[in-house]
Amino acid sequence: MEPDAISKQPNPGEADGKLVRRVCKGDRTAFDELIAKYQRQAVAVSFRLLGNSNDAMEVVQDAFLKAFRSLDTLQKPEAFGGWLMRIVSNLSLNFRRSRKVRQQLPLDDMFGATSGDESQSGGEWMSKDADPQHTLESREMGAKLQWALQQLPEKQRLAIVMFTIDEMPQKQVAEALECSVEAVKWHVFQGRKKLRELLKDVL
Amino acid sequence: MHQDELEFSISQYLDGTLPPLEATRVEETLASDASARAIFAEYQRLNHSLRAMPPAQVDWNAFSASISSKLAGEDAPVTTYRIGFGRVLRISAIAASILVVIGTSVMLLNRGSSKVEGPRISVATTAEPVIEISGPSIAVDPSPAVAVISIGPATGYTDSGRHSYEAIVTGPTRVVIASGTRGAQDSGDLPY
Repeated sequence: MEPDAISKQPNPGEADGKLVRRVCKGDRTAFDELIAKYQRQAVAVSFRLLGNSNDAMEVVQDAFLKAFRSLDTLQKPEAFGGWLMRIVSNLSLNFRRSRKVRQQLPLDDMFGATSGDESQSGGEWMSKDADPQHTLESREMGAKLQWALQQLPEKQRLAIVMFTIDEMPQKQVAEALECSVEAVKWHVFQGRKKLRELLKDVL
Repeated sequence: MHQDELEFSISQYLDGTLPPLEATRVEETLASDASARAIFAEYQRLNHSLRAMPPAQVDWNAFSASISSKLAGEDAPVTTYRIGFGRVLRISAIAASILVVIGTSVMLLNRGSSKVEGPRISVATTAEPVIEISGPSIAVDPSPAVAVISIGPATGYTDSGRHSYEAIVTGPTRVVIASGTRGAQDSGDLPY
């Protein structure tokens, strides 16, 4: 049995620390580098939490603005990645709560269902072939996964999203969740266990 | 191994975060335990399904450009050094402690080295404050003090047999300084 190959990224902290210090000295281009580096990860996390790419982009934009404004308060510049993900996840969860209050918006492009253009939705399980049965099954599976994720407690959901889905390094996830690496392992396990129970019919 | 422990180990093994020794133990369990293999297989399928969810469709260049343009209107963050209230409190407490120690030391040193008593001030408290001033008594003559200065000839003009103007010009001067209770007119010894 082979364990899943999780991409082992080199510690980005040192480079981030240098960039943050450059920004604090007035070099705005350094922040552009940080945006380029983290925008995909930030949108991915927010997207998994919100299920809508437009909302996710709006939240991530706010998160970068917030991070820029309060960059001078960052105690450890090397921990920028985890800090930014904490801002992203907090803003996403707040956005989700306020959206719940306002109205229940459809999770449109998570499943490519409401866009009407399935070719725009990538993904392995999102069928690109013309088999309608397969497409329907994929959509159903996606909807179930999304539903199951929403049933998890916040920490477990964030741990699954950041570590299992977006494959962020455990240390960065720990920084984002403000807990230890061991706690991240535990949250992942607990989340996984719950998802297995919730999805036992489809797994 | 307890079921929950086993599942936790399988979860970590799947993620590749288990220490080598424990990973070997899990592999041995997986090789011999069908239920453990079933859990591992379900976790694997779950991982694959979660990772197969489609990513957000974003034009990354346009997205980063839009963030940068929004940031253009923002002031650059400036590193500031703030002393928090807690730190101020700590510093004040330390400073106060040092002052108390120094003050106590100085007092003890003074008490040990010097036997000379300093001035004592005693305050008697009564219902109403009273100030008494005492000193030597002076006998005061109730009559006003008078000083008479008269300038004139040493002898009276009647005695010398000369006219008074002669006595003034030629006679020796006489100075009488007297003090007494009586007035100068009462001296009876007119100078001219």
